[in-house]
Amino acid sequence: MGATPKILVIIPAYNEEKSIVSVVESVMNAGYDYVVINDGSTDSTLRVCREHDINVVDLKCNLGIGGAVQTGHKYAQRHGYDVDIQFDGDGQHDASYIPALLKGIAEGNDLVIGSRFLAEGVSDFRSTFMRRVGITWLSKLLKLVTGQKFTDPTSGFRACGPRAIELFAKFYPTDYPEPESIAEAHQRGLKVSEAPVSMNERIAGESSIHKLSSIYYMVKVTLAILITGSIRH
Amino acid sequence: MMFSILGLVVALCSILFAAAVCIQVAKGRLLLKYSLLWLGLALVACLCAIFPAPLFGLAYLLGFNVASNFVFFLALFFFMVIALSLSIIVSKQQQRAKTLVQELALLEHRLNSNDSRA
Repeated sequence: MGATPKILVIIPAYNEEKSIVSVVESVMNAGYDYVVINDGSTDSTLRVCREHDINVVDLKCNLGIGGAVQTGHKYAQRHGYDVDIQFDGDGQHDASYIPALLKGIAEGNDLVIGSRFLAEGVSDFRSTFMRRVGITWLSKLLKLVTGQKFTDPTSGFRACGPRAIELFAKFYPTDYPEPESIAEAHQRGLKVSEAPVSMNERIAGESSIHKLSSIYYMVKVTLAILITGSIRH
Repeated sequence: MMFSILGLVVALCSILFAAAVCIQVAKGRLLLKYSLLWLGLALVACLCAIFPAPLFGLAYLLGFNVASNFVFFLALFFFMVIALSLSIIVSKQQQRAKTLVQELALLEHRLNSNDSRA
């Protein structure tokens, strides 16, 4: 990596017509290259992007967050970016914390996860009890598999260095990839760390984790982490 | 050996089934590699119907009280194998579809940006 790495912000967007323009503006104002991955939105996200001359890659079918983010990693790889940052299209993430993630990459980590629970009381992100239980469970599970503590395993605010970009462009989990990709990266010998960030309430849109399917989600992610963790590459 | 009516019916059904599978392959609706399993099943069913003695013998050896239970057991096992292999095929298809959608989107993006530069 050179003195000034090329940085790309990947913004996956599924039905984010209300928030996408302001999210893109916040990233542009912070001075980063970006690409929006429109994940087969059924609202007018794509039209809004085209009207505002936003750099958008349009997936014709909805692939889910994993497939969308992987498209971003492929884009980063093919356009010669050294670092890419996953940044939600719903306004949940704050571009002013991107340098904190980049610092982790500069310190030699391959994957830096932005954590809401590392910062000292700055997070105004309110979390429900059940969500906290889920996060604790995933955190314990990742500790078991990787031997490392991750305080915010479901965080979708993260930076990838060249090795992580290369790995994720090739292999990226499909459905709810955040916790699983941590195990995957660790298993492949990549260095993973956390950086404190603060997150906002969503401007619009909904979490990809819904109430009804949350048990199904937990079962799937648990299995995925255990299986990924038990495979030696 | 005398054919029982039941054996005759089973043998006939197996042959009809195999013919139906072959027609699907000929019409290009079923890939040959996926047809082999079904043709194999038809062959085994047909053989068991014509020569039932080994089937009864094996069922007795394995401790099944009634030979039909053995047949049900085999059928169930066979269908589970088929169902699993179908799930594997579906997963593979999904992976391929995902890659195609991604590549198509990236290609379209490249074409668009070439156009706007020209």
